Amino acid sequence: MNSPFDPAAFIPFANLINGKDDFFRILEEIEGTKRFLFRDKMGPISLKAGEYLSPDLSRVFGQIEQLGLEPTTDDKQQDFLNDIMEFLKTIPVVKIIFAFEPTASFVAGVNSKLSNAVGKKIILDYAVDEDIVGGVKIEYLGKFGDFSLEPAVETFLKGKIQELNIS
Amino acid sequence: MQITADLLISLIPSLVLLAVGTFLFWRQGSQKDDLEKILKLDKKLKTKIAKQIQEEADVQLKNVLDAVSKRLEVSVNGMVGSLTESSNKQVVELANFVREQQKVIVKESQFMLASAIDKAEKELSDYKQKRQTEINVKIFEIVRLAAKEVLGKNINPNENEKLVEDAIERAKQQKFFS
Repeated sequence: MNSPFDPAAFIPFANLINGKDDFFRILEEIEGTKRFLFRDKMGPISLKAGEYLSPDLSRVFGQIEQLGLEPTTDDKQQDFLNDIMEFLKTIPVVKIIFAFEPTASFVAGVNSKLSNAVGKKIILDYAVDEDIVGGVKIEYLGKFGDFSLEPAVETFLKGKIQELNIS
Repeated sequence: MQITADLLISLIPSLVLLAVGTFLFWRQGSQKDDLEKILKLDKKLKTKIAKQIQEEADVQLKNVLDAVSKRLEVSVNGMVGSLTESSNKQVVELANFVREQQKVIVKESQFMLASAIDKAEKELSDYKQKRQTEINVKIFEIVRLAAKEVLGKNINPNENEKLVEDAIERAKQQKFFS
């Protein structure tokens, strides 16, 4: 991705995203933030769209501003917001199926572990299937893996059935 | 008397004429008879000749017919003999062919019977295997569902979260993400 802005400025925004719902919410908020530019108001984005921004996004904009990574003019700020959204859209998605409804903190933890496993920040697109016995099923870059207990349970049961000389 | 003589003399030419006429008439009658005789004779001769010709023709025809009949008989006898010989040969060949065919049919029947038995045994075996597999699948499915139900109910939230973390670690070790 070609951008005139420092890539380090985009990372904090990516770190706000754990699940797909976070991704859409952040994109929507950044898109909405553009409405507060070009209103003859000077200053950083957090000041121009202060009332509109959610606390976590406001906090991230504050960090960027403190680091001096945010442009100051309306034109540049609009380009900056567009580039943030483009950057977020390049984050890879890992689909995962849980056997239970996870808490937000657990999703964040799983995202962290998966990002570590993948080697870069990922977005977790998760679903719940109560038929899964322990563990998860994962889909990434077209590959599908069953990491639940189901294969082990099936192998165990098949062995037992064979022992009983049924098959 | 003279008169009678004269009369007689005058009658002489008439008598002569009469005589000549009578002669001629007689002669004419005689010629007619001769002609009739000749015609009868001619007819008789013709009849005789025709009869002789007929007899001769009959004899010759008989000779011809006898000769032809003999040749025909010889020829027919020859053909009948040839046909009989050929027929006998064909009957023998046919009998041999039938015997060979019977042997082939018996062999084929035995082979077909053996094949049918093999096929039936294989079908029975396949059916048994298929049914056994179906039963095993059903048993397995029942046990699997029961096991899942029991396991699912007995895994608490903390264990579930731990299992997820283990699963991710396992995926990482299996290089699923690379």
